[in-house]
Amino acid sequence: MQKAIYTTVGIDELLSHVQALKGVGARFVQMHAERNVDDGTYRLVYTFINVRAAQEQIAQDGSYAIENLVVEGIDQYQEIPSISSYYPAVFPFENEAHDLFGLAITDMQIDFKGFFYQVSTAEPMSVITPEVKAAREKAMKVRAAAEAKARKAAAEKAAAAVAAGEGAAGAGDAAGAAVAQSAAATGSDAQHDEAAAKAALKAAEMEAKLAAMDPEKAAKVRAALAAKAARDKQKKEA
Amino acid sequence: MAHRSVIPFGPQHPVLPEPLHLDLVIEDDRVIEAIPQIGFVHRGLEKLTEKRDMHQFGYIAERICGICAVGHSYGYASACERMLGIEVPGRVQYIRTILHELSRIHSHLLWLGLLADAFGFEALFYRSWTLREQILKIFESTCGGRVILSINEIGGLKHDIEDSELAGIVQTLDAMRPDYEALVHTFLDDNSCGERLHGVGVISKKDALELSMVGPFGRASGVDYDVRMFGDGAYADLAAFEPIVATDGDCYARCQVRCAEVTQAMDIIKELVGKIPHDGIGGRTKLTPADGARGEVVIEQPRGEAYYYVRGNGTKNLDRFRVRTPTSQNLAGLTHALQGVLLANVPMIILTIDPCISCTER
Repeated sequence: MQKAIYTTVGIDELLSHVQALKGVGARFVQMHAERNVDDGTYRLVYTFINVRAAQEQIAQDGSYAIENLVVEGIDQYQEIPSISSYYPAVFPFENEAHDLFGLAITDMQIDFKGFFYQVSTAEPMSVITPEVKAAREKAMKVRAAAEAKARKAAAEKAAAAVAAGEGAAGAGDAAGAAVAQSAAATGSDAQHDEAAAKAALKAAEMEAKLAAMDPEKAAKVRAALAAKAARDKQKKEA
Repeated sequence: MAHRSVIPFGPQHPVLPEPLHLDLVIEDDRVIEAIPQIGFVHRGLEKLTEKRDMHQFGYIAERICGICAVGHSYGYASACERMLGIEVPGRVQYIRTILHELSRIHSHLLWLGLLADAFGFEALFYRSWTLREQILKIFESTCGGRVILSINEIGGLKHDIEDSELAGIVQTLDAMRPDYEALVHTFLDDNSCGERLHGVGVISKKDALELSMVGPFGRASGVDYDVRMFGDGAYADLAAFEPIVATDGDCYARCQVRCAEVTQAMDIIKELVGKIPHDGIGGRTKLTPADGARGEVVIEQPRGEAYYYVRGNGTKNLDRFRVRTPTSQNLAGLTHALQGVLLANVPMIILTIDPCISCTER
């Protein structure tokens, strides 16, 4: 059974960790870059397998580990040291990270200087498309709506429990009333949250639809929606 | 001092089935340095996860390569299952492994045919591909496709392969064995083959380890590493598994390793068919990876260790899909093997690493 171990390291600690892995005889498996959609930073994942340790572990409990070094929060033009002096086989992946993500990896043993891949768009993997952004936002809104719904359900449950307690202890219990008032207020907040989340979800869905449309058509739809909103506002004011 | 010049080799060249470019720095007729260049047909498949959901992407993952297609869909599905925390039934693991081993046989027979063709032994090329055709017919009769089988999906298989069909596979393989042994005898014992292969493109074990070489290319240099020895999935139920290793590190050793791996794959299939459980074939599952959930696997493709990585983002699309194919790992070994060889031997050495540029250009 394969297990994966992820160790987050800083850029300045990367080479010492790689050196340590090389020292214990770990095989280099791969290296890849990832774009963090939320904050626009990059993440690098270096993967290794220590075959001897894996075999010993398998003999003990039938499992073995794939070890990953993860470097988080990299800015696009921040310098990253190459590990090719320890593992020469990394050169295609480092050049790939440079050409497809625009990452600045220094001291590569074989450096193609941006000509490893013949790409028609510069740094294509660093581009976040409107579809991805819209899908990501929609997922966040859906999560927010689910959380609001869960909060509302919890508040209702608490209110019901308090009401049942009041029935048992009598209507004059001031402390119980205070709790019930607080729970009711929480419920009202939750309703407001839910309405806001629904509206946001609807907006996100519309944004996703527009992102998938032909840009010219999307612009026309956006203009029509804006005009409708303005008309509605005027009617309300009148 | 001999005159130095640079020969551009490829991407369009009679010995290259796929677009690989090498700048060969030569002195007289000896190669001093070789610098590889790929990227002529890069397809950006990893970026396509933005437009295709996880189930749809299974079809794309399978099309990364036309030779190791089964392995790619197996690796992709396994990585997604690990990310989603799905455990597939034993029968699924067995059928995936059987098809994967059949794929290894057809890949190695294809390679043996290309090798024979490269040193001008046409009859041997025909015989290798005639045998390979039987594996493609097995694929066609059990899955409907000769190369793209589309049987794997996240959570299980699209359809079962009946026990009677599995028994038929074993019968076909048994019937192939005498012809295959005769073929191997020619490859390994015939002088015309041996003279082109012995002592050509030697890589020592130390260098192979240093360059992280994988697959038969590494094992021919004595690297005792095959992912199957870790016993993942159905491989765990094999009575014994030992990687096939040779020590000479030359083109002949690479041929020797691949020849033996075909027989080994036949034995594995026979053993697994005899032990296959009947616990269902799983099925398509709901795609709900947590934001930031990750799954990764390594499997042994015909050309060596392949790595698959997926990362979810809370939607039905993946945030990142990564596949590291064996050829991209062996590029460093290729440049090393070409240093100091005669120019006439360059095509043979390139062929013996069994480069798959379409895998690398995913």
